[in-house]
Amino acid sequence: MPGDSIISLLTQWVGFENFVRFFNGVQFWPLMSNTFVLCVLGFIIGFPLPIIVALSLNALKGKRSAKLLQTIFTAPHFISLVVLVGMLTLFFGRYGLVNNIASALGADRISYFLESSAFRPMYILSSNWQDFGWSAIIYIAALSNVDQGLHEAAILDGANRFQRILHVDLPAIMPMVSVMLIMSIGGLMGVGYEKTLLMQTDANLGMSELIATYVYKEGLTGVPNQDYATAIGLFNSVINVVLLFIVNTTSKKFSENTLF
Amino acid sequence: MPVKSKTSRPWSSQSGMSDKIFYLLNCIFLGFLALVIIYPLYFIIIAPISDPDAVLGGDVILFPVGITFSGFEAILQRSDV
Repeated sequence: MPGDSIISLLTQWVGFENFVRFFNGVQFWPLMSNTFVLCVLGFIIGFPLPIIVALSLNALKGKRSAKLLQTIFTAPHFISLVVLVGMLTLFFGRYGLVNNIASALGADRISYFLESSAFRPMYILSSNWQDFGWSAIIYIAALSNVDQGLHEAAILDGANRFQRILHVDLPAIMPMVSVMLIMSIGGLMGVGYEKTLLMQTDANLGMSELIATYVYKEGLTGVPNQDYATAIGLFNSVINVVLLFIVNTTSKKFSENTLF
Repeated sequence: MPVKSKTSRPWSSQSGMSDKIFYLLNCIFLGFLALVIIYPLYFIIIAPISDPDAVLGGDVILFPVGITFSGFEAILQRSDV
């Protein structure tokens, strides 16, 4: 028959069977909501923070102290994830720093890694702790190109430093901000599995099982279902592309800054 | 009619007080962030040279407790390093 080849003898066309199996599975909604909530919360906190830090570093008077602070803020980016999660287990463990402070204030000692409600705050805060300085670099670079004449004119008009940030610095980096916004929305659902896997315990699995970790577990561990795992991974990427297009067209409508 | 400025230098800002408050708040914010960054980094340095029981028990806070290099010795004794 035409179309028959060695491949079609070994494989079987199943259509959308794997997708249907995923959509109808009991894990579908928990996985989607876990991934979505974690990513959206992380985005809401993690997107403005580097901008604020860059603006406030730029407003610092001493250029040397600004350089020093920037170096400090960038440093955690170079810590490996395993070390970072090791630090988290020490700080948030039963006798770690956080519990010591909490018990000094009269609260009970909690094992944060066994509380599923503590997973999202720990994940988001540690991710931001690690990466805000790194993400701020691009804004700091954009801020160094701001025309000093605009600042002088604003001073003559009686603007104080805070007003100058709002009305001179922020508009100047706005094109950069919107490009970064489009890019980070495009990667919104693409949260990595590495850190999640490291932070996963059986107790917080209800919150920490994301699409990425589920794909890993289905596709590579136990009895591998690579067809099923690939279908889920593809579905995740499709969501990302759709989000990217939505944000890009919205941005095109409201400003002239677009990615493509 | 605009009032003539008291000084001839336009740089002497009239809103000096609000600028001072802003710089102060800015410094406090950045200093807080720097502390939050530096302390865990400092902790990674003091934790390996402290007594493991003290680290797990939460006794290591600002200075290494019971300085020991047992962790490094254990690493070096492993044949697969």
